Amino acid sequence: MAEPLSPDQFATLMAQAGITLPPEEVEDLRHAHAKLLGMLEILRAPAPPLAAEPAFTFSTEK
Amino acid sequence: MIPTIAEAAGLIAAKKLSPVDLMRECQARIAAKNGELHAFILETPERALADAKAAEARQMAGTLKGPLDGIPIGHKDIYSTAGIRTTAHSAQLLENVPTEDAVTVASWREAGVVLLGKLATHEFAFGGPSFDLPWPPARNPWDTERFTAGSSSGTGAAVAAGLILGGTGSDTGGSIRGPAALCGIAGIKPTYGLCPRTGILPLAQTLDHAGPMAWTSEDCAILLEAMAGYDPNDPGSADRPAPKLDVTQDLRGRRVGLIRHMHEQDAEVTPATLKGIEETAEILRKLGAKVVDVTLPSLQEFNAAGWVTLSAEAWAIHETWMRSRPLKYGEYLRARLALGGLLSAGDYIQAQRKRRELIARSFAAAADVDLLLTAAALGEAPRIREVPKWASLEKPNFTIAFNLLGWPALTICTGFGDGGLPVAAQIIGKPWQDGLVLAAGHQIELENGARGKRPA
Repeated sequence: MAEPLSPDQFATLMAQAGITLPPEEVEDLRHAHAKLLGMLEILRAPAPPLAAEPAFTFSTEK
Repeated sequence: MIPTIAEAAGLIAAKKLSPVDLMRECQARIAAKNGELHAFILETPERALADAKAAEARQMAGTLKGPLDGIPIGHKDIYSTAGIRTTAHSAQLLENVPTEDAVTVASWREAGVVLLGKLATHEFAFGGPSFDLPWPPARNPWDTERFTAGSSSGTGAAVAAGLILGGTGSDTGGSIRGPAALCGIAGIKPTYGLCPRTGILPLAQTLDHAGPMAWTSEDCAILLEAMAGYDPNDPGSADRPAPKLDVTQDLRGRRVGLIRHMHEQDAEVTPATLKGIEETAEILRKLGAKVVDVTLPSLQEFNAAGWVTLSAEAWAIHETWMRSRPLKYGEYLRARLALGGLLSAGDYIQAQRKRRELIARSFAAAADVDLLLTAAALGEAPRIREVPKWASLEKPNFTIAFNLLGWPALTICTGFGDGGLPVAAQIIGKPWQDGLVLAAGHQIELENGARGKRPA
């Protein structure tokens, strides 16, 4: 499992997102965020080639 | 005895059952049980009486609209109901009274259903089980100390207890199939695009599915036929004719892929769940199907792409309120939404790239089968007070894979575990094979005996 961000790093991330939570909820969220980081590692492993299929297709019909 | 929708429809058509009497039987059960189940968060007795009387008038006149005419139902409280409060079980929407029905609500109304009220949900279909909301969470009728799963928790509890004969659910990561599994009923997440979503409060638009929940797969087919169809106001809606769902279609010669790795390796189910899946496979063999093992991508890959997608899309829907009035959400939803706000644009794009890869790999893996079979849940319902806040991030679930794929997926009850609570299996089909999925569910239910037992 990925390591949690440090409390300072996590506070910066929260501030960038514009999220203000009661202080007693922040520490729990920091540890839950580490689980999400683990999922992000799965998404990026192995790193997709640069020429991989575009994520979205755009249709002028819809 | 609580009839199924199919049974009640037959009795109503034969003038052997009054829709008003049927409604009153359900209301009597609500009066007796809802105090401990908390399945309904709003009852609509005047509307129910009007609906039932209208159905009875059509019954007497010989002008019944079809099998849903006079059938008591409830709607998950994220489905907009004209003139009836629709809250998403949240303090954010306590005063919300829509002026129009959701498209699916209107479709069922046109089919003649009797609306008994609005049903509990996890807050905005994502935050639960929560004890800090305007209403308590729904409880499992098999044991009221147990979890219903979510988010269509009220519908699961109400159907299992016979408070209604069927109801609406929504499914973004398993919110129909999870409660169906733990409450011992049937519930289908249809093919993405089959059921209109206009008027249903969204959670994550590329994963959200509307669908029915009922005691049997046959009843789900009746309900789904009445809510499927093209909706030009829903960009995800498919412009194709509403299907005729034949649950009696022959299963002989069909090929069923058993996704053994999902419930034996990627996640480990309880012995009772495993036994139910094996017995289901055996029933399918007896019905003439050929069961073979197939290997899909792992649950871990599906869950990673699924939860990142869901979290990011949910954040996008709720970010204004999350910044301006976060304390009006319950703690669980507030925390889960916040997690989505911490994702980057790159994270979301990577999830979509993975999603397309998973879709391609899944079509290739399932190329030679008509149906798939795996678990719907790990086992019996846990105690509601012991459900981890971050359970969905800690253990992969069996359901979000098919939200990512958009394939139809049905939960059926396969029996009961050591604790006397239901266990379940999940039957999955290719896109637009909802009828085949329901046919398999119906014919398995006829054989497995699990429909003969209701909660006490």
